[in-house]
Order: sequence, then C-alpha cells, then structure tokens
Amino acid sequence: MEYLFVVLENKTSVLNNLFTTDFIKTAPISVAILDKNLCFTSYSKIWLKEFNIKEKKIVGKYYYDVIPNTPERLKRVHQKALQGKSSNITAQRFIDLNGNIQWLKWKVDPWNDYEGNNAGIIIFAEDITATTRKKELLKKAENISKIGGWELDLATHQLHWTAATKKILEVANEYIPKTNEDINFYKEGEHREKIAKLIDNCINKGESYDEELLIITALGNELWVRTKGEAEFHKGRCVRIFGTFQDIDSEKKNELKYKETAERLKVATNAAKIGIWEFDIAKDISVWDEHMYKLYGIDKDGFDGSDAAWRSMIHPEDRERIRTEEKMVLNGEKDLNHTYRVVWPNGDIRHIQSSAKLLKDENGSPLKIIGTNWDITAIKEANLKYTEVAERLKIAANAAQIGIWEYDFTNDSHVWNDQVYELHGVKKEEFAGGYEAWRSLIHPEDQEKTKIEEEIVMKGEKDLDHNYKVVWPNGNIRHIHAKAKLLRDEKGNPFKMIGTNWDITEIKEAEEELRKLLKVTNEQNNNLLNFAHIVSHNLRSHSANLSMLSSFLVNEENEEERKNLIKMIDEASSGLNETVQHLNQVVHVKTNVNGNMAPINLYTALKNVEKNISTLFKKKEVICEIDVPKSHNLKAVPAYLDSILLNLFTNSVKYSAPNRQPQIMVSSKIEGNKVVVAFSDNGQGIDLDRHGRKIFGMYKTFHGNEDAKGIGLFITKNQIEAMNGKIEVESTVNVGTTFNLYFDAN
Amino acid sequence: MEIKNRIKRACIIDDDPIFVYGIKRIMNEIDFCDEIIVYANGESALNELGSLVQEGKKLPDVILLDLNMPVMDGWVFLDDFVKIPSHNQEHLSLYLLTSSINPSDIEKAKNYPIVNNFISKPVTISDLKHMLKELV
Repeated sequence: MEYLFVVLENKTSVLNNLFTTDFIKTAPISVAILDKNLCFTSYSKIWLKEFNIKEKKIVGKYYYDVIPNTPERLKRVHQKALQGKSSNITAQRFIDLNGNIQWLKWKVDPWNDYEGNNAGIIIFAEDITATTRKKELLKKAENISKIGGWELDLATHQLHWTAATKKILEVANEYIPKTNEDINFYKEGEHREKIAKLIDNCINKGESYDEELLIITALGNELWVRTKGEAEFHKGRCVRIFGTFQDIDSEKKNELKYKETAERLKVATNAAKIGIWEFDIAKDISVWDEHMYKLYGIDKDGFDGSDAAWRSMIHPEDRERIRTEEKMVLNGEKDLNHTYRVVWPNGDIRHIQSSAKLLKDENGSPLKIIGTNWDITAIKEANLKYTEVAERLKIAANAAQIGIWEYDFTNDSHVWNDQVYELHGVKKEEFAGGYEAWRSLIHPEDQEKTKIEEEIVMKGEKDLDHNYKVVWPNGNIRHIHAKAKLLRDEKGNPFKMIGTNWDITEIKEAEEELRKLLKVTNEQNNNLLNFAHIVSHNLRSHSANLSMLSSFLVNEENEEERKNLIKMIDEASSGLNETVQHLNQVVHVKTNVNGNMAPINLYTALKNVEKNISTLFKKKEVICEIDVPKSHNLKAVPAYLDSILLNLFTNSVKYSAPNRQPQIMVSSKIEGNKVVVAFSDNGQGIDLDRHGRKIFGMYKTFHGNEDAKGIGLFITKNQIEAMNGKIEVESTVNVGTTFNLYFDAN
Repeated sequence: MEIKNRIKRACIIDDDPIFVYGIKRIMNEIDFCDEIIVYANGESALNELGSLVQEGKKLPDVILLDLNMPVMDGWVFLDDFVKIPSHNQEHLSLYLLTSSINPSDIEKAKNYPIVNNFISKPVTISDLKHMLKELV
C-alpha cells in the first residue's frame, strides 16, 4: 500500500484524471478520495464492500451520510487531514450498517491537487476484523487453557512471553524477560537440568520436546507446567525456538493423587490377596492381575485368558451352577457374587469367592465384566468344622439327655433342642414358646423361688444356676436343674439367655432317701452314744465302788468294819453284773429282729400274758379289760411282744394309785398299715412336763419305787422300735397313763 | 469371804450308798469337815435345804451333788435350788459329781454359775485335799 501511495503522491497532476477512471475503482485496496467538503470524488469497489455500502453511486455524496456511524475521533482526523495533517490509526472498532463489528486500520492523508493545493483527503482503510478477532480468540483461549506461548529469537536473543505465560509465571504483564531467564524458573535440581538439556537439544539437533516439569513462580509458588518446544531452522541453522507453556498444576496433582490411591489399592489387594480381573465379552479375553494366578495355582504362561481356559480350572461339579448364575448376570438380573471350587494343577482344591459387575456399552449390550476373586478355603473349612462340632454337640446333648435352650428377650421367643421339650413333658407342636408359657409349666411351690433367682441374674450378680420342679401335663413331677448365661447388648441391656437343663429327679429322690436315712442313722447314732454313756456311767459307778472298797479293805484292820466292807463289795459286784446283763439284753434287742418276725394274733397274745400274770392281778385286785377285735393280727417277734405286754402290765400294777382299785384297759384299732394298741391304766400317772423326755431313758426312775430299775420302758421301747413300731405315752398325774403302741399289721 | 480353817458342814447328795460310805470315810481320814449331811436323792435334799433357808438357818458350806439320781436327778435339783432365795449362797461351794464322761454334761454344767467344779467319780483323796485347799 505504501508503494502505491508514493506513486500517487508523485504523479498527482498527471494521474488526477486517471482517478476518475476505473483505476481507483478496481484498486485491490479499500480507498476513497474526498473533496474539501468531505464528499466522495472517487472510491474503490472494495471500499464499498468494506463498509457494506449498498448504493452503487456515491460520488458527490457527503461522507457522513454514506457512513453514518463514523466515530467522532475519525471525524476529527478527517478535519485535521483537510488542514494538512496526516493520521495513521492502526485499529479502530467499527459497527457498520448491519450491526456487524468491524476492526479497521486507517490511514488518512491530505489530498493535494495538481497545483499542490489541498483538494481534499485520501483515506486508506484495511479491515483487520478477522485478524483482530483471531487475536482476541487466541488470547481468550490462552486464558482459559492457561496456555501461554513463548519464543526465543536466536538472532536477537530476545525471549518473548505471552501474557498467559507471564500470568503462569506470576510476573507483571509489562515484564520483559532476559535471555535464558526462563530456565531459572524451573525448580532447581532435576527439573532445571532437564529443561536445560531439552532446550539444548532443541537448538542444536532440532528435537522438539514435550515435558511436564516443576517451576517456582516469581511469587515462590510451586507449580506443575507442561512445556513444549520446537525449533525453526533456516539454512541448517536454528533461528528461533518457540512453544507453549501450560499450567497443569491441578491436573498433575490429581494425577499424583490418583497414582497414590492406585498404589494403596495395590498394597491392599496385595495384602488381602485379592485378585482383580477383567473379561472382554466380545473378544473373549480376560486380563488378570498377579494375584489371580496365585489364586488359581498357575503361572502366567499357564493361562491364555480365554473363557474356556478359565472354565476348565473350575471344579466339574460347580460348572453347571456357575453357568446358570452367569446367565442371570448377563441378563442384568443381578451382579455376580458366588463361590465355587477350583482345582489346581497339583490337585489341590480351593474355594473361591467371586464378585463382579457387568459393564454395558451405550446401547445397553454387555461389554465387559470386571470383578474380584479371593480365596475363602479357610473360611469354608472353618464353617465345615463348625457344622461338624454343632452336629457332635447335638448328638452329645441327645445322649446325655441335656437340654440346650436359648431365650430371646427382644421377641420373647424360645429356641429349644429336643431334650428341653422332653424334660418339660411337652410336645414341640403343642408348646407355643415364650416366657409365660414356660413359666406355666413350673410347679406352684417353685414359682416364687425361680422368680427370685431370675431377678438376681438380671441384676448381673451371677449366672443362672438353680433347680425347680415342673408339672407334666399328665401330672408327673420332675426336678430340673437349669444353668444359663445372660447375654447383653452394647448398651448393657439383656438380649439373650443361653442355657442348659437336665433332669435331676432321680438324684433328688435319692437325696431325699439319703436324707431320711441320715436322719435315722443320726438318731440311731445318738441313741448309741447315749447308750454308751449310760452304760459306761453305770459300769464305772460299780467298778469305781469296787476299787474304792477293796482299797479300804486292804488297809482295814477292824474285823467289824471288814465284814461291812466285804458285804458292800458283794453288793457292788452284783450291781456290776446286773448292769452287764442289761447291756446284753439291750444289745440283743438291737441286733436280733429280722429273722424272727411272725404273724401274731393280738387278742391271743394279750390273753396269754394276762393268764401268766393272773396271780399278781388277783393279789392286787386289778380289773383288766381287753377290748381288742379278734381279727387284729400283727407282725412281731413273739418273745418281744410278750416282754412288752408284760412290762406294761407290771408297770401299771407297780404304779397303781394307792387309793383306788387298779384298772387296766387294752384296746386296738387299725390306722393305715399299722395296728395301734392303747394300753391305759388309772394309776399314779407321770408328770410328763418334768419327766417326759426321760421316761423311756435308761435307768431313769421317778417315783422312788424300790423295785424301779429304770430299765423296763427303755427295753420296751427298743423292742418295739426294733419291730418297726413306736411307743407313745399320755398321762395325767393322779389320773392315769395311756401308752399307745404301733405295730405293723399283718 | 471369810477364811476358815476347816469346813463346817459338807452336804452329800447321792443315791449310791457304797459311794457315800466311801466318801465319808475319806473325808474323815483327812479331817475334811466338822459335819456331813447325806441326802439320797434330789427331792429330799431340796426339801430339807429349802426349810433351812426358810428357818433362816445356815446352809452347808460345801455341796457334793451327784447327777444320776432317781426321782429327781442333779440337773432338776439345780434348776430348783437356784430358785431358792438365799443370802447364803455366795458362801456355798457346789461340786457336781458323776461317773459320766458325756461331754454334753460338762458343757451343761457351765450354764450353772453356782457350780464351782465338776468332779469325776471315783473321787480320790487328792480330789478332796484339793477341794480343801480351794475352800480354806
């Protein structure tokens, strides 16, 4: 354009007319010539196009009429040009008639006529909208993508950075970098060394580079950047290198984070020995990580990745089931989650748990399956063992008749094994379960004590450990022992009780037997002890006397006294003898019963004794009444019965009241399996309050009677008890006495 | 308590005549006391001693009481004897005599504060000498 302008300036006059020809009209630039009144004298076709002017003929028209949107600034420039001042505007935004934005570049100069007088102005315009727009877009793109540009002119050693680059480096927009300054922005150490090398290679060998490195900005911030560079060669020598500079900090950091996470995942799956696999359905290829091979017991080369190859390693018995489940997964019915056995090449069988997800493409067709495998052989074996143990427990509980039960507090339900039903005498189908239902089975006597035990356990003071009676529907009473533990949830509330029950009826009954036996034994022992004391006392008395008397005798010289002493010795030795005899009698009674029991008719026995004692009765004028049914028969040792009856008869006579005629009455009745004989008299009676405990004791006398040895009733009692009977006494002083005798009926 | 050179009166309550003869003989040998009274059973002893108290007369200084007697044995006697109101009872020493070796008897004796001691038959000279020492 400048060339053209020079030409025009020199040949003004000659070419003046030429301008009205098509020369200007067809000029390849946008040019217009205005007269002093700013009316068009000539213009190029391109000018019309530039300003989108529809009119074909604008010569003579006022400029501002034709182009109404001319900015004021431009008008002033036109004026100045009329006065001889040129103007050169590099860029001006312009909105034309249609509303489009235009960027124009102007040159306005005064136009002199052939005489050199100012004839108007000439305007050259260039539409730089496209380039401007491109520039703007590029700038915007730079900003958005945070890519800046850079250039190093090797001739001038000028380093040029775009605004975006400067922004990344956090330097001022106006900052002009010095040569090679860019390298110093890279982090010292491996990053700086790297970039230096890359630039060197680029310059010397023309190798382009594309690298991600760390920089330290002018403000001291560390940033990841991607720097690209390429060289421009001219005649075999590098004239400049240029490239881009991009802030990839956030992306890089994400990438690093991702790598870290991936690393952790790897470690985790490593530790957990989880295998990860991916199967491409279309291509029928699976990709395995290293763990998968371990899980299947094969080497990497042992597996070609095909579906068939994998399937061949599955245990034959499981193949069918797996196919069925896979179908469901492919249909999208569910995610894959199953276990199966694999057979290793060496024959080992392992249990594998497989979990996978189906990936579909955009059309919804199955694309890939990705999943995990892990070895659950140990768990499976543990489970089997558990089942085994549970079975054994069941058998053991069955054999030992032990009930095992569980009570769930949250829903008031019981879980009982068969034995618990048996123990409680109920049938599984008939028993509803629940606390109240169970409680209704407990014996009324034990309701209270079982409740108390439960309270203590609920408080946490101890584990349950008690026994109680249950009443079966058929009326049977069984004793049950229960032991249990209370389980609590995290909040400390009871949620379950597990326990055992077993039947202790036989044990309890045996206990009862034992207790009775013990009581009897104790009594007998006491009797024995008493007896021993009594006997030893009496033996000692007599023997002590004997030794005392004989020691006197040895020293006695007086003949009278000696006679006296000898008489007393005689008495003492008789006493001793008698005591020994009594001893014998009692021992005899205690040991000699069982073989000699016989059925005896009571009436007959009584009549017999009465006859034997008739002389005494006559002498004492005793009235004797025997009011005994002839049908009463009892089991007794005949000699003992005689002795008992005789003793009672003679006692009644001995202890008859002095002021009245002795009366004796004997009657009998049946009570259960016993014959009860009542033996009454109207004698002196016994003060039972004072002597009641001692009446059947050995050597106990109460009446000061000469004949009383105190042994009769003792022996009588022993005899009747030896025959499984008992004797009781009722008496009122000075009224009479009644002895009640209990014999086994025959 | 007055200290005496010898015991004035000793009372023996025992139903065994041979034993009574023996003990009297030994007492005389060692000059145990001035006077010896004998009762054959608890009842008669209780009656007699009771009337002594009622008449305001002095009770014996020593009582030797046998446990095993007819009609009223030693325990019953004791039960009734301690009920007799008497100002003389502190001066009275009571000894229980018995051939019994029953430990429960010994225990029972401890329940009667009036009982000084328990003496097992046969009673020896040393027993009586010892008694003398204690009382005089």
